[in-house]
Amino acid sequence: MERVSGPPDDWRTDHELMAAHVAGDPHAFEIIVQRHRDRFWAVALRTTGDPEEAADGLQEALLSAFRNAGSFRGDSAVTTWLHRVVVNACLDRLRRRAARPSVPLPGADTDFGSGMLADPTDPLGAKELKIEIDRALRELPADQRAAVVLVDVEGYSVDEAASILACPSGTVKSRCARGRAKLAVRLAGVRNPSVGEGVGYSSTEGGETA
Amino acid sequence: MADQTHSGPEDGRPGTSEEMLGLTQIGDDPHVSPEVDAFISRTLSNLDQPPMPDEVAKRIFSALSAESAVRAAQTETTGTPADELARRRRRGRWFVAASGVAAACALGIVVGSTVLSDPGAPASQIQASAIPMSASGMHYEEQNLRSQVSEQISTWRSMATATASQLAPTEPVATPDVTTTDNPSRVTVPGAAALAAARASITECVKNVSAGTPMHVDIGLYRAPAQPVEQQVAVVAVPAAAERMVDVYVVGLGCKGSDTQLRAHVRIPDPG
Repeated sequence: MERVSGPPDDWRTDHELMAAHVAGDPHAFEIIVQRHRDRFWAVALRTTGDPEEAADGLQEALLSAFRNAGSFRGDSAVTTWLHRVVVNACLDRLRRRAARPSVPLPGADTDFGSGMLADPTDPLGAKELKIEIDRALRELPADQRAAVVLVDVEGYSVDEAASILACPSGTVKSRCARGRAKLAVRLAGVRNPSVGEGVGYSSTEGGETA
Repeated sequence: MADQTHSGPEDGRPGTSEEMLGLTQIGDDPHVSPEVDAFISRTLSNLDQPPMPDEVAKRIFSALSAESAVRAAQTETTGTPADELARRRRRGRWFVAASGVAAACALGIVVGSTVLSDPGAPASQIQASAIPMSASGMHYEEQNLRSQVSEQISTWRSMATATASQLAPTEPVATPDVTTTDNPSRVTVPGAAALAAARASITECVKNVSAGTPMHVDIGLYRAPAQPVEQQVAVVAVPAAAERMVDVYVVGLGCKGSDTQLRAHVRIPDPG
């Protein structure tokens, strides 16, 4: 997770930038955010399922991290620590939103970006699957969604995700399994050309795979 | 035996039956075969990163810039380098600082709450630590200043209430400057330590723009008419002499003494 180089141009690692920020460098924290901004945004967006909530949650989280950088002990990647702050801020917002339910606007489906599923051979199928994945993710309970987003979408290990979510690894595994199962049900009816090549759905009768 | 695997891309549909997935139901949750579990995981890993929209990026970086400016002002005014504060925390003395900051926060909140409920509090009661402050980095605009501040006042009030409850004596102390380690994002109160220096100069400044006691000061951005770029400002909300009205002063961050750097002044109804 540690970046040594890359846009914006700065040779310092994330850890070094964080230390510089704590020491008073006025630009160091912004460089870290600039470096990982799309990843933070993706996590916030997929955790909340709502662009407005994601933007609010992300701003709240990054300001909090800016102020509290001194509490970062450096025993994990900077991005892991920041993701923890972001995910917690987003989950807090979801909890608060749950306490004041609102009616979504018609057609308020969120487009999470273009080309989410890389499948150049069947753009229509990929598009359909992308839309369904967006919807399906939003329908998962928040804790399962956060675990699935961190482990499956963002590629964190179960242990790292557990650290981010401040829960045992077994809990993350369980949430991921339950979340994936619900996604499988939800996505079962979607046309997806890649499914046929390697899914291996188990038959209940013979364990046959395709 | 019925073909319970999906039939591939030829017909375009993998099928929808639960049997096809090897589904079983345990409690409220479905369970699928390891192959399906792996497929879903693989599918999710192929999702692209949606790029952060430009307007979100602009907003977040503005907020961070404003926060950075406040922190720089603190270091300049107090002469206490930020790394020294961090070193103190790392040495385990954080609880001492926490007590101090918590006390300052509590004082600010108590007085701030008093101010909110007692708009007529005399200006002589103003203390640097008594003014609730935040650094939202909000883009205040001349044409929307009234509505923006009106909305903000409600937010500030709920923030003051939440913060007061966070700092109740029976609760673990969580200060903005010395965070709890288990969940830093829960610390949502304004950066008291970072704002401490700004408090002093702005308090002095407020005395020169208004005789009242401010209910809140927020650091943000403002583009004055005929100005090409936004500037960092302090938006000061003061209960007006007229009942249920609030005076809003927009002053430059360098506002000190008689040099108020007043950018705008409007009077709005107190949103209550």
